[in-house]
Amino acid sequence: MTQTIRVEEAALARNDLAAQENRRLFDSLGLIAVNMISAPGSGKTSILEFLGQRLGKQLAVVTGDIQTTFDADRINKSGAECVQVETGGGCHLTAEMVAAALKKLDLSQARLLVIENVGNLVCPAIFELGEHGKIAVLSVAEGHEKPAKYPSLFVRAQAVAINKIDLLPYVDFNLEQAESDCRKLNPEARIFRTSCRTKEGMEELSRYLTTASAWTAHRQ
Amino acid sequence: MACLSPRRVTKALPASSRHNTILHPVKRIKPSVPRACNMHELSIATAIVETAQRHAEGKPIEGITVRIGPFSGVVKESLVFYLDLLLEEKERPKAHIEIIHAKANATCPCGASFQISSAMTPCPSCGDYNIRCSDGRDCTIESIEVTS
Repeated sequence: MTQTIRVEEAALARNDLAAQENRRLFDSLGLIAVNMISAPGSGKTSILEFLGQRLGKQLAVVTGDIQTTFDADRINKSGAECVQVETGGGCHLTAEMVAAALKKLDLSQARLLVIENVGNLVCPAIFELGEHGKIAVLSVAEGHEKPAKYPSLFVRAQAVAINKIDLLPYVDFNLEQAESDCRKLNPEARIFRTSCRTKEGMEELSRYLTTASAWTAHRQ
Repeated sequence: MACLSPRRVTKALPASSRHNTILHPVKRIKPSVPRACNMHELSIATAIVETAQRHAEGKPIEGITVRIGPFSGVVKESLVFYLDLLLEEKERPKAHIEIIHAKANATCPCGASFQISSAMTPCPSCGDYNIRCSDGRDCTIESIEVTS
């Protein structure tokens, strides 16, 4: 005989529980925690180098990659506190991976924690890590249609950095379209135009990232 | 997601030999993730089967019903593929899998309340895109069927 059992449980309940634990830790330390998500090569690590040079050990970073410590090497050199997570094939970070990585970080001076997710516009968007909010990074070389094509990330991101903006004259990137699509996906999204080469928009982005009220007031 | 718990956490010293200019030691961890676990639907399917088995309390699982919202980021075909694989391995072949596409509830500043099934949908009343969604991100195990 077949019996139906009501479950009504989130598929990622276990990840969500670990994320809540991470959040409790962030809040107990007074840390702003931001989940940074983008395609590979959009400039996440360059943005973090800029922040590291400004903030030193006040910036802590968990950086995720399939393999290598190239990103952590660069971020460490900039002066920030950083730990590399090598997922060995996993295309996203999970809350449990972040919890394990946090144990390796000296957070005594940190006020901003950025979790630099694995370069991927799909999977990282749906795994909560306990962050206060997500920032999407989109470089102009990737094409203006990316927000519309990858809505899972852009509906969740409370901020978007349109990066490598100095390359705009050389690529067919419709800035107006990209920004308009970002707003259709999330009318409250804060959009920045940034360049790690010319430093355009970088101070503004840095101020936003380090302003606790910008993140803690936001609904997850 | 027991498979995602870290196997070992190491501080890598010295830094990669390919980067011989590195001045700082690099902390790194390598969580134990199966090599094939590189799409999020497999992680989700694994979690769903674990949850289903917990609720089944040892009884054979005949079917699983999952509800996904339009912003869940879950591809139905991919989820069914992995659920089939896992159930065949851990339970029994031909378990019934049903995926229900739920709509998201949205409101517009014009006062309209409506349901949407995809992102970038304008308000049906005024045509504005400035709408707010209160849900639609969920991937929920609704029920399971077991042999009693």
